[in-house]
Amino acid sequence: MLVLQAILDGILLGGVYSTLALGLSIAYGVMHIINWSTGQTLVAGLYIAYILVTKHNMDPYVTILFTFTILGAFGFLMQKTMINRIIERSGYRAGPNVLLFTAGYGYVVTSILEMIFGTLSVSATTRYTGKSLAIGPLYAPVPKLISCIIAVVATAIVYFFMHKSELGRAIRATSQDRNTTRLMGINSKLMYCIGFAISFALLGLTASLLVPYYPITPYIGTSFSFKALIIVVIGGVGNVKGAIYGGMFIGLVEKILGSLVSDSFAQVMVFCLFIIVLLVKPEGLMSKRTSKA
Amino acid sequence: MLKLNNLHVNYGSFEALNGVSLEVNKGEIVVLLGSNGAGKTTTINTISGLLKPKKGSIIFNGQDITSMPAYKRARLGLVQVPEGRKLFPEMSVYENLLVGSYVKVARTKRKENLELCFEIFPKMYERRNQLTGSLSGGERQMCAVCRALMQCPVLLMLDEPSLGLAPIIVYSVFESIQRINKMGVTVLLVEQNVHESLRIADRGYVIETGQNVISGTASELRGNEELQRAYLGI
Ligand SMILES: Nc1ncnc2c1ncn2[C@@H]1O[C@H](COP(=O)(O)OP(=O)(O)OP(=O)(O)O)[C@@H](O)[C@H]1O
Ligand SMILES: [Mg+2]
Repeated sequence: MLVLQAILDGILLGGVYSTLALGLSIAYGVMHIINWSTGQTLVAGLYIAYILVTKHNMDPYVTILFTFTILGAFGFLMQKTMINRIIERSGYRAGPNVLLFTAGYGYVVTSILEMIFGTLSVSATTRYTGKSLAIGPLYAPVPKLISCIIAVVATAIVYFFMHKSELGRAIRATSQDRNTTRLMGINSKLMYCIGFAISFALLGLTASLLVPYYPITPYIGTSFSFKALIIVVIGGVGNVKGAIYGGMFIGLVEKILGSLVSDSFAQVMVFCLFIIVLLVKPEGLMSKRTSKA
Repeated sequence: MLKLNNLHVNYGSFEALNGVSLEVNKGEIVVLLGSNGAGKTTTINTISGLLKPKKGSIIFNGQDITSMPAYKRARLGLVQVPEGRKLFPEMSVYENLLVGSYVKVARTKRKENLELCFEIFPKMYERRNQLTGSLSGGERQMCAVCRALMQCPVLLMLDEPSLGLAPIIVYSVFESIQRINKMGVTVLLVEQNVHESLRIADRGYVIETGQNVISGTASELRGNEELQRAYLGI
């Protein structure tokens, strides 16, 4: 029974992990850059959602409209005004330079949040707080259940967008060969901006999904960045299905090991898994492709 | 239709082109010949806008496009089949063709262009759901030509389409280039296969170390000893 409950908890957590991971994965897959401010951006989104919920009495799930658009627009502008410029001027050092840039930017975000909100942990009380749903002998907290469902639906939408829409296809093509898409009349810089906007918008969405039950401090960003990276490495870079499998997988490992052994042991195992996957199957556990020489 | 005036292009401080000029008229097949490293790819990448010239100008259909971004040039119908095909390897043949027809004008003609592609290259219809990363060399070339056709080309530039293909496949690829030309598409062909390309071309240019050396009609070039010598001398 303990294990069944842990499995349910793992799935509920894993769903939200998958949109978090997509936030990193799309930017990584499309632009081949690691956004090391993934977690900090999420935290900024959490505070936005927190304010909307506590100061404006908004339903946490309605805040998605705001976090998604605000962060999406911000991501677009950041790519357009800064990252595209760094990529252009850095040549073959573009990858590391952008990584350093986003790491630095993440620090700035954390400091600003600390300045505004202080260092103490806050959490939003919503009309879902404390409610839970009994499923046979198991129970599922209502906010986690709703968040997980929204996350899974959002992931499915992203999948169809990337694979079935004209724009999504153009973004994927740009990720595979950016110069060649220009020869097809596709504005590859604009595709980068849109890719980054989607990444940030998904982090905004994830923030709204976490706000009903996750305590917030300015410092929780880094661990989210790491989690996202682990999931992406496990699921395969830029692979939307991989993000959901990877997210579920990490959610399950965390909750099952957490309930059988301890939470800290679970964290250790998650990080070990990351290292093992990188050593053994660097293209991702879920990827069918074998690694290229 | 296309006119290059005295193009100079650098890679850093290395001068890859030192004054290349050429002209392509509507309806022609023009071949650009030159040995390895002569600057052929540099020339057509500059025409496409992937490289910016240091000096010189590019006129397309009376419009100076020297500083126009690459994606806008493609929208004018200035289409390139790049060296090494450059397909999107993690997409199927069909998806590659859809990306080729991303731009609005091409999208409205998507259906008829797809039919045209599959008619010229029935093999592509058989392979439409295969990832292009796993196609054979000949199939990749066909797919790259199809993707270019999906773009509704006005001027089609092909960078060494015969590279790495068996003679029989080279023959059929050239045959289809000729057929596409007959449909009204002007062609600029970059080649090292002198014999086969002069067979289908109207005129040709030879460049060496980034400069024009010989030019003339296909039959003049076929009889040119200097050209024969240059190619034996590689
Ligand atoms: N990205 C680059 N950076 C520096 N030099 C380059 C670059 N690309 C090409 N070159 C140099 O420019 C010259 C012309 O190259 P280009 O690729 O245009 O030759 P090519 O005629 O297409 O040759 P090939 O038949 O082998 O494809 C060569 O000397 C090459 O080494
Ligand atoms: Mg070349």
